[in-house]
Amino acid sequence: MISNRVTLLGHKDHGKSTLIGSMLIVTKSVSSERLEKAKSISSKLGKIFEPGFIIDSFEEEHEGGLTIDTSRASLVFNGNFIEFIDVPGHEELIGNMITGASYGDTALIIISALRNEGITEQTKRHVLIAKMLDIKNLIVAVNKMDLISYDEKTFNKIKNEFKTYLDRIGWTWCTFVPISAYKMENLISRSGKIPWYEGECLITTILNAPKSKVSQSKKLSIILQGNLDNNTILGKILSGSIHINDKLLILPYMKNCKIENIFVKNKSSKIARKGINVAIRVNPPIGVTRGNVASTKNSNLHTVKAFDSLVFPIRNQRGDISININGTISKSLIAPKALIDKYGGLKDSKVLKSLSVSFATVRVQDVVVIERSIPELSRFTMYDSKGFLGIGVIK
Amino acid sequence: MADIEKAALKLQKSNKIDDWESFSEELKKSNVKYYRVFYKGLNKSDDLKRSYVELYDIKNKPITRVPLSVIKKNDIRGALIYLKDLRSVNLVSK
Amino acid sequence: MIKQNLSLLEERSIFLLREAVSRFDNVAALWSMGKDSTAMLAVARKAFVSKIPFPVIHIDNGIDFPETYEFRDLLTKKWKLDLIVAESKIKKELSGFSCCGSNKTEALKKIMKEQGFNALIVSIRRDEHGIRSKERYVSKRNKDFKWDYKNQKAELWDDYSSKIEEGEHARIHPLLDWNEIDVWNYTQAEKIPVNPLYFSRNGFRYRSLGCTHCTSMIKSNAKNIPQIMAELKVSTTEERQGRDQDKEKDYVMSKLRALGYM
Repeated sequence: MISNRVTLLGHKDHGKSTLIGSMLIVTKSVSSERLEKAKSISSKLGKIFEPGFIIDSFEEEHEGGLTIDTSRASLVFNGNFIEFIDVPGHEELIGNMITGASYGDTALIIISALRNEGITEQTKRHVLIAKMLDIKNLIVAVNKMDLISYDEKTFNKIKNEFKTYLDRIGWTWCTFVPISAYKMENLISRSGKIPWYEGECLITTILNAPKSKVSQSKKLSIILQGNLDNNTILGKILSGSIHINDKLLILPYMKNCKIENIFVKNKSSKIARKGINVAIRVNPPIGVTRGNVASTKNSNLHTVKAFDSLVFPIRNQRGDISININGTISKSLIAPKALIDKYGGLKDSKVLKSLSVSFATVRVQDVVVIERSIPELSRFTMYDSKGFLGIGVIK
Repeated sequence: MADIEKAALKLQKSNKIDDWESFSEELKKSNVKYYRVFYKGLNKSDDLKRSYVELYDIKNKPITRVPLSVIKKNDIRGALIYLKDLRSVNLVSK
Repeated sequence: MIKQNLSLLEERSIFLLREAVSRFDNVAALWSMGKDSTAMLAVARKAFVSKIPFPVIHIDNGIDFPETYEFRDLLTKKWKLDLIVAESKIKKELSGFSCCGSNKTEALKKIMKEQGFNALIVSIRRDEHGIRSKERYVSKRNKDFKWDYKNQKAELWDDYSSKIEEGEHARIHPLLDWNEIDVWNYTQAEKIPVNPLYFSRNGFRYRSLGCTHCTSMIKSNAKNIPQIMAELKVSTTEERQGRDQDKEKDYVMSKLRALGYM
């Protein structure tokens, strides 16, 4: 069964939790216990039952009506497995939002059709983060259509306005779907209430989204985690493959060694490919630490102390910055050059702006290994004295 | 009275570690196959003293009973590890 | 319940276990002899080419099932495990809530302090219960074993760099992405030994294992893993049905987790 992981983005009041709850109900993917429990909780709190209560399990979420951290909900529809990842919309919880968003293959952003709601700063910010996280597909669900009498003009207005922004920041695949999460319209079948809409219902749109291509780099790269013993190193192959007798180059030390044996799980193996965790017996013995990378001489992975990137800080900087790139933690200096403004264009800026994406040159104290064609080696997290500061993608 | 019953009676009078260990020896030689635990509320640690384990043979016939607890360095602990060769009798749940 | 791709799940868990060992210098794993923690140990044997580099802790309140004690001793011998038994006392208040909560947590705190463990591998899964679905692959516990679930730091891109101060520890959850049916599927595929309490006798079996006081049986005729898996495919009852503590309060699990009980 193919897995579709969908991250739900958008402003907290635009109906994300309701949408997941409704999707679970219409695809009959929620147990009767869970449904009863959610109903009894809402009546205890004196509220009308809301499908979103099914997935909120934290006390604060029940009582405050907010989502604080990511929740996941899975459903099966016609033999397809879909996992929804609901992330908090609130600015203060952006760290949790980024964490949850990074798991998805498809981003589903919800925009309320109501005049006083619509496209917000948060909507745009979420979509920018999704782009940074390298999510390839975007579905825009225009929600609460029931509250505007399923009006075609309003839908088109939102669609055109948002499409302009998306074009400017470079989304290649996106599609717009009108829905009502609360009334369960156009979720798993075309809705009679929206006769002017010619596209597919939401679930079909999700299932039709192109599957993202995994990195096809032919270069060998293995992220190393440490030694099992003096002769054996542990790691995960990110790209390429290895065979017994191959020569390895351990970066950033630039040390050479030869593969004497390969263990995949408990068994000795002559070959191992991308995605596999391996234990490699090498000669001569080499001590490795987390952050080191094994490759070959020809692969030309870069060992650098400076690079250009897009960075997204979730708050104002406090104190010196260090970055974590593939397990190597290094003090660094970040020099912004420009930032992406609210229209999706570039504006000169020498300062990092909280909750905005900037182009910046990053300099690191310790040599790091980077490779733009391999996701794990072209992204990093940032920290300062207060803790997690944000994320960065190498350009 | 069978040896196992005598050993169980001894254990009911004194359930220190040594007593459980002697009982274990007898258990290996006996025809006891199943156990069932009876809890007396377990709301106070005293209840642990009053709880017990019923022992059965292969035909589910009750043979004798033993304490649930063992006294270890002045502490009362569960003693179910001493019954590890037995299987739960699995009657309808409490 | 949907079966996922075991190979992908296993690779991910191997990676996480190796991360734990590489990042923290004093790692231990909790082992309850249940299907999840036993499957985790089977994965660990693969991650470290049969030499599990950390000890396994059994928090023992003395009233576990005799079958569980036997299973523990057999598997410890077979897999050459470094077993630590942390004895917990049964205390005065023993409702379903505090029996398995506070007294086990205390025993755990004691052994962690004694041995200086700074990371603990715990085999919880996201699908087990509402609150656990918020867990991260690596999460920090403070000195009082409390989980600050409101302030979890961002975790993405395999960056598990929480700063651990003295007295604190990290919890690692290698089976977080697995669901109940995946654990059984893996157990069968790898021929992992199974605690006999999971299988039906006289029309009853245990779906999830706690100690003899708090665990009740469920009606079932599943005598082997394929039958258990068939039951799960149609099951709509949550796994923890049969463990009394969950019936007490709506939000009790929130509190238990925050207190450090898994």
